[in-house]
Order: sequence, then structure tokens, then C-alpha cells
Amino acid sequence: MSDQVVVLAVDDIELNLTMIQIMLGSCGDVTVVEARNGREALEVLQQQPDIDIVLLDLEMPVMDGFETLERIKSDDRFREIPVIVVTADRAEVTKILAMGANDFMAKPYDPEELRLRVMNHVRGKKLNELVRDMNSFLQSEVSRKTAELRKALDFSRKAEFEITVRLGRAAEFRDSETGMHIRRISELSWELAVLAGLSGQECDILRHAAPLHDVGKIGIPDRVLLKPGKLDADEFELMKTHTVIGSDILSESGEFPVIKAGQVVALQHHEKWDGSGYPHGLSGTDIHVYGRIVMIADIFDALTSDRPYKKAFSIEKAIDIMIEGRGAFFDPELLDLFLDNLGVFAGIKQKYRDSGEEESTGVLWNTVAAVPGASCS
Amino acid sequence: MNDQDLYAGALSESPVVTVERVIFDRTALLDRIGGQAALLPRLLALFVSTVDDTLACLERSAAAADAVEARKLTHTLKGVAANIGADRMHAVILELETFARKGEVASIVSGLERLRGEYELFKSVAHE
Repeated sequence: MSDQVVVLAVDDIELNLTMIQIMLGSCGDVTVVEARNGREALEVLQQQPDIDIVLLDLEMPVMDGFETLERIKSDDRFREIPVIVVTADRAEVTKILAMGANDFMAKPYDPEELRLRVMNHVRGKKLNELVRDMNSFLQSEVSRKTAELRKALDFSRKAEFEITVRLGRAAEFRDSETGMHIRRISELSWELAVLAGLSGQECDILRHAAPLHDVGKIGIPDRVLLKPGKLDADEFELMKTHTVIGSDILSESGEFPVIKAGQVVALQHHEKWDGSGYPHGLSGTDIHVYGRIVMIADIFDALTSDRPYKKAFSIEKAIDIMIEGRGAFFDPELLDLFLDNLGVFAGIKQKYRDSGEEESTGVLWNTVAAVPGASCS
Repeated sequence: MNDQDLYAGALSESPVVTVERVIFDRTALLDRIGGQAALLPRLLALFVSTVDDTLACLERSAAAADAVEARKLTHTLKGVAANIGADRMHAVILELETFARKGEVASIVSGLERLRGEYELFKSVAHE
């Protein structure tokens, strides 16, 4: 709070202004600025934003004190500046107070009383300004901190997404799959989740969690993972453990919704509707909807992709195969949604198609081979 | 004199004023200006020039029977007389203001003569 006080004295009589100058000017911390009428006073107020208080005479030429008071109190820029009306006529007191004057003094005024009244009003005004400044400072601080928090939250969310993509890529890297497979599973799953009526947040979580479905392949030995032919029974048993391994990798991730969803997807994306899937033989809606969705996405993508041991099936052929698995492999409602909106999914497949050749994946092959009709194609 | 005038008149008087009004309350003025006697000539000169101008205007407005203008001018005189400590002038001006409010132009003219007399007295006392 500045200790310097600037007083605007408005009076058309020089003797009165001089008396105010003498009475207030003797205080070292008061500067008196003069105006000879209301119009001059308003000009000074516009030019000098540091005016702390106005001492206003009523009878003046050009613009009298009543009009000046009215203009000051109806102007947002000046309203908070206290106005003490200096009058020789107390009969006007009620009127000027009703018009918003903060105080009045009658001539001849006692200099000590004048100083005290001026200082009291200025102190009030400066305290108000301080409170206002503090409020706007606090408000801007809160906004700044909120923005920082939002940024930090966005960053941590991005970091989580980034980790899931990198983990998924690490698994596919060993498997020689392309990044496009991961991208397609992500987009296909998201689209199906939207159609299934999952919340926006759930859809987003699944979109980022779906790439983690095969993360457990990291733990499968090369001789099985990269075997260029059909797996024998033991090898297949070993291959099946990629679901549990993936789940273990992603376990205890309660605070991270995407990784937690990734664990569900990794564990359950080979569970089948009729309970004949693995690793736990869950059936129906005991299988999390994330698992049921990713299974459809994963199989559709496998069937319609080139493999060294097979050309990609046409969409029609793939659909025929998948319809065979309705109710046995796939959640029938989800499969119907998928089939009813096939154009959307075929579009995703096209948009994120592989640019180069992909190599075999034993897991997918075994999955596909187990779909009725797929093995004889 | 109506109630409002009574009120205005009563309040315009200092509560510590004695029955006997002084021509020039130099002590009270010195109190108000922090005892700076050196400032007195300047203030008195300002007072005189203001009263000279205002009285001339007041005479013209009285001659023109302009009671509204006369009231404004008596208001100005009231303020400066109070400020300088011209107590007896102040009392006469209050009467003039009342005449002006009532539109009694003839009374203003006669009152003005008395005011002139008080003014001359003030000047002689103040310049002592």
C-alpha cells in the first residue's frame, strides 16, 4: 500500500482551494491537485489514475458538484474513489449522501477533522484495492496452478499411453509383427467399444490397452514363438501361457487404468464365449467386455492379413468364418454389432494396412485354425 | 424564514461562537492554517478579490431581479466568509441568502448595503 495520498480538490473559488492546500499540503504525504469545476475534475480523474479522494464543492460554474458526483459514481473507473462533499449548506446533506457521496464537511472545516476524514476514506479505499489486488493475484495463481496440474496430468496420461504402446511394440518386435497390427487392433477395438455403448472414458482406455494383448509373448521361447509350422500339443500349451505372462507383467497396476485394462485384455483375449478358451475357460459375460472385444478385433485382423503360410482371406471369407464362431467363440451381440457395421471395420483395415509383408505368428495361426471352417480353408 | 433556512443557518454557525460576533476571527483562522501567520496576507488578498468580484455580480443580479443567481452568489460569499473567519459578514450573508431563496429582491438590495459596511469594517480590521 502506497503511503502517498493524492487529493483532488474541486472548487471554483481560489481562496477555498488555497485553504485546502494549506490544511492538507502541510502533511508531507499529501499532494493536492486542483480543479475549478466538475468538467475539469473529470478530466483530471481520467488523466491521473492515482487520485485517491475527491473533495467536491457543490456550487460551481460549467458543471456543478451534483452532476460531477453523479458522473463519478456512475463511472466504473471512478466509482470506488471516495468523494467528500464540501458544502456551506448542510441542507443538501441527505441528497448528496443518497447520490453516493462518501461523506460531507461544512465550511469552515476544522483542519484536523479534514485530515482525519480524508485519511480514513483513503485508508478504506486502499484496503479495498489491496483486497482486490490480492483476489486477482490469488485468482491468477489458482488458474496458473490448475493449468500446470492439467498439463502434468495430461503428461502422465500420455506417459502411460506411451508405455503401453512401447510394451506392445516390444512384444510384437520379438514376434516380427508390424506396428500396424497393433494400431489396427487398437482402432478396431475402440470402434467396437463405441458401438457397444461403452462410456467415452472406457473406449479411450481400451483403445490404449488393446495393444497390450500379446505383451506376454515376450516370455515365450523363440523355438515356439518363431516356429514356422503348426505347433504340437506341448508347444501350444506353452504358447497359451502368453496370456498369463502378459497378465503378470501388467499386474498390480491399480493406479493406472490403461495398464490395468491391458492386464484384463492380455489375460482374456483368448477366452471363448462357450467356455472353451484359455487360460481359465471363462464363459459368457464372465469374460470382461474388453477381452470379448479384443478377441473379435484380433481374429478379424488375423484372418484378413497375409501370412507366409497363407494369403489374406477376403473380408467375405473372413466374415463367413467368424459367423461360424458366433456364440461359440464370440459374444453374439458384439459379433452382430461388428457385422452390422462391417464397413467401418473394413475401412480401418484399409486405412492402417501393412506396407510390407508380415511373418507368421504361431498364436494367431493356432487361434485362426481353431475357428470352425478356418482350418479347412 | 422557513425550517430549512433555520436549519441551514443554525448549522452554519460554529457551535463555540459567542453571542458577540467578531469582525475578523484571526485566531480561528490561524488555528486552521497551523499558525502560519505568513500566509495571512495571501489569504486575505484572495478573500478580498473574491468578495469584490462576487459583490459586484450580486449587485448586478439584484438590480436585474435575478433571485436564482443571487442565491448562488450568496452561497459563494457564505463559504469564503466562513473560511476566512469574517463572522459578522457571514451573519449578514446568511440573511441575504434567505432573501434570495424567498425571491425578496428589495431586501437583498438593502442587505447588500449592510454587507458593504461590514466588508469595509473587515478590511480595516484585517489590515491592522
